[in-house]
Amino acid sequence: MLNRLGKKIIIDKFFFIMKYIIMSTWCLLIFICIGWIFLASLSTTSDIFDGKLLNSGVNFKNYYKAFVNNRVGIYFLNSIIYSSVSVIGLVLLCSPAAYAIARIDFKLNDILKRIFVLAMGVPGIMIVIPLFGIAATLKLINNRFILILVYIAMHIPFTIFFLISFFKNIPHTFEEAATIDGCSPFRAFWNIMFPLASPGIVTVSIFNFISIWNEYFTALIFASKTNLRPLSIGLFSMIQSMKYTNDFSGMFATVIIVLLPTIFIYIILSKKIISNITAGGINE
Amino acid sequence: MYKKYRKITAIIFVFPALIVFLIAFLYPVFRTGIMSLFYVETISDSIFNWKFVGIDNFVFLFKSNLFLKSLKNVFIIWLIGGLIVFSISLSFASILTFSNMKLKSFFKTLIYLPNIISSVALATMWIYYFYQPDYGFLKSFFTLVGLPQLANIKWASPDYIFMSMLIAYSFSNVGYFMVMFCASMESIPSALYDSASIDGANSFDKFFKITIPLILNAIKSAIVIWSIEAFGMFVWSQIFSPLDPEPGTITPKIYMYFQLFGSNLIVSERNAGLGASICVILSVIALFSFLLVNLFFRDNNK
Repeated sequence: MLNRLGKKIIIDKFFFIMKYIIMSTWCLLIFICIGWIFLASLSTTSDIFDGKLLNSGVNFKNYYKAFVNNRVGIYFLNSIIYSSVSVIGLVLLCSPAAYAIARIDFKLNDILKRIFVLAMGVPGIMIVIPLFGIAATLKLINNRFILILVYIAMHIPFTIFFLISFFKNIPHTFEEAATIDGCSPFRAFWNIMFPLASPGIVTVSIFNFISIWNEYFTALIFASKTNLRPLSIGLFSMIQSMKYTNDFSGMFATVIIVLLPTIFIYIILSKKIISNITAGGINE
Repeated sequence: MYKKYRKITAIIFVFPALIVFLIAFLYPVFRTGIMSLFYVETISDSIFNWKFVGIDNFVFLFKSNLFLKSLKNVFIIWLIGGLIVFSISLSFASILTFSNMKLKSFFKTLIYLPNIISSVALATMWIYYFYQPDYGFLKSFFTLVGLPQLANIKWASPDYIFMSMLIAYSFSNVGYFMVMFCASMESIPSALYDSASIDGANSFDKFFKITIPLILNAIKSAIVIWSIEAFGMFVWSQIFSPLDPEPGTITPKIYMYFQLFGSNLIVSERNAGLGASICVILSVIALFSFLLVNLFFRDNNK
């Protein structure tokens, strides 16, 4: 009896250790990859090929070169413009709409909600061709505005869907009190409901920001001109020109520049992000 | 009076978002749908110059070897990659939820990390570090453990590139689905497992008879999300063969991109209608996966 129990304890212990080993190996791989890229971005290309990272010391030349020679600075600025303007636009457009759908009865609530849920399942490429056609006719290709508009349009369904549930959970007493005090609906919304829903608004904005920062396909089509490229396209154009330049360390520096902002946001807000992943959290 | 006032407010609140949505989302979606039935010489042609061709665009695509190859590629990624992603993410999620490990949230945070990194950067890491034949991770690792045959494999050569891409893509997606399953598993009451243990159920029984049925909704939406992503794959294929699209790694979206926008090296037809047809095919696949998942799991449940 005791023997059997002892065996069971040993087996349990074995599985317990195995679990740690599997999890740690997986995490270690992720860590090694990012760590290696980081060190490579501080080395020279010949160091990388010799397999001796940082052999010629830590040098930030690659970052300097990337920002100055390879226009990564412009790409970085573009990425910031696209992501932040789209995110702000989405908040301004979607939070009043979500509030109205969630809390005011005006007959269309249910239909509108259903349309937005359905739209979440439509692949983004369905809207790209006609918008490109229209933009080309209006000579708006290679224009920041059109790319931002596309980003906003693509993220409206998810943003509204996400915010509806947040507005639904705010108690009704706040609105009633505001109305009794003679507050106009607009002031009631911006001064009372909007701050109360801010946890949801912040969360959805983080999702949207990361998703737009990392977006690739639409940017490739609508911002092909060098000065308008976001980081992701800039990195790809560097990879394409690697055939001639062989600047591996510069490429790794660009990789780090691309992923640093999102990792930074993630380190601060990982709890919030992870606890909000449910169906359809981040759509590419 | 007050009610009417509220209704007007509602309309004013919904209006801006709705207008943008109608003009920049719903209208383009329908226009793409209609365009797929027309011959359209260039993408900016006005609607009056379109020539109605019925389902000819689709017939053309399903006769084109390159397009069929691209569909086959994404289908294999969907199926094999899906098996890899779902088996790993389900087992990771159950390990992280049901064992009393320390560092749980640390593991979860780090495993999810690849999902917030741009796919371009991620794919670059895989191809220019992990698979790189001179200084890459696999090369150094296999040299270190003394397996020179494996160390000398050129993972990015045409023979292996598709497999390498499939593995890289699947592994990079594990974190997202794992976190999704974790959230769903955490809501299962632990009393269920306790009573099952008393009845003598082992871990496998518990996993397949309690966990899986109770997180079915999460699995359903995970399959739909996976289908949309795998069939619409673009970035990975482009980074893994950055110059010309190689038949080995081509996907429908890559085919569409080169057909409409690219310097057409391999796709030479000038017809924007074809591009629209590809979009429609990808959307139909997404819709189909949704219907199929609902049908299949409903029957199983009852």
